[in-house]
Amino acid sequence: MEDHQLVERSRAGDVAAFEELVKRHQGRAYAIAYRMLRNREDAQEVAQEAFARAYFRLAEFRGTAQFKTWLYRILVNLATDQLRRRRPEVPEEDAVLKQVSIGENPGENVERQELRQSITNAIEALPPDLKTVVLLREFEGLSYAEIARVIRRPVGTVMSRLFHARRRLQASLGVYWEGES
Amino acid sequence: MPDAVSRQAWECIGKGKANVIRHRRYQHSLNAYVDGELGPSERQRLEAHLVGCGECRIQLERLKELQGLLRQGLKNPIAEVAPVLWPGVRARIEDGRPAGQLTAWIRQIWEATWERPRLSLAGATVISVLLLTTVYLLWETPVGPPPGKTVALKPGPAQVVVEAVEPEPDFGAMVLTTSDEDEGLQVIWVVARGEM
Repeated sequence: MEDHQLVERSRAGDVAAFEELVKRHQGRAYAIAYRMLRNREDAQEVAQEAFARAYFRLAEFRGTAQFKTWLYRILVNLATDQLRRRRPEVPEEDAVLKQVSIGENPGENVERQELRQSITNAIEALPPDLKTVVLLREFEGLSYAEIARVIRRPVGTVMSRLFHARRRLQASLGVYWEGES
Repeated sequence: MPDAVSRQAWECIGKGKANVIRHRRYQHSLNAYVDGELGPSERQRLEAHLVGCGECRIQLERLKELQGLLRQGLKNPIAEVAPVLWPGVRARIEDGRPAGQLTAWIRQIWEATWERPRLSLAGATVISVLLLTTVYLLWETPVGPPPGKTVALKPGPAQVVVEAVEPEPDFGAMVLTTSDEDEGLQVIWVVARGEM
């Protein structure tokens, strides 16, 4: 069954249909929230709140948009609010990643961990508006038009933000390819 | 990364304001090119530019490398394992109440306000000016007829010219000064409220 059919059923009071929508989109919703907040509990909290708000606002959902982008808009707003309220602290990820998968080739894992940490730090250093477009583009693979709908800005703004975000990331991560060229 | 056009770029595109502007535009388009978001004609124009512009070619390669780096580095084991969200969502749904139409309407206005802050500010300014103007006009409007206006006073059909109007709040009355040119007289009328 398509998303829009599940939305219609949910609007009519079919909670099971909404449960199906949650199960379908929870993975990506949680991943976005986690990448923005870098804390599992906060990400879970924000993702659940986003779904609940989406449920109560189903009447506002227009069939012309995709449920996914509409949900992401609610999610990104909640996560951005959370980021603004939050005091600067050491993200949970730094500590947790050290415990993740010590495989057969420890050297490779360390290298990958370092790369991941550098990228995470570089993204973390971006202002929230640039960070959001990078995450939606690079990790969720949304098109410019979809990102524009999520952040409610023109496509030109999306292009401009991506341009500046990537310039900053290139400057931060330049060490990874400077030796090659 | 330097923002100024490098010597290499000067050699490729040639000096001249128009060329520099064009070069800058192509540099901005490189992101959309890498993301597959350029239309066919724009893509062709950019590819033609890339043939002759070493700086843009280098920038294109860097963008591709950055993209690969980001996708490789952000395969995050924590982010990819989502917990089961439904029980928490269901609990919120059961605890909460659907927003009424008024709440939804207020929220839409609130969101629109934050999305278009300049427009909202302009709208608020216009509304404030209109309100202030209305209050000022109401404040300044005299209670009685303005001086120089011909009015009919009750009782009787006589027409007189009012020269001044002054309220007399202690007596709950208005004092109107009129003149009679034929007689060379000035007449002061004291009119109780409700008689005008």
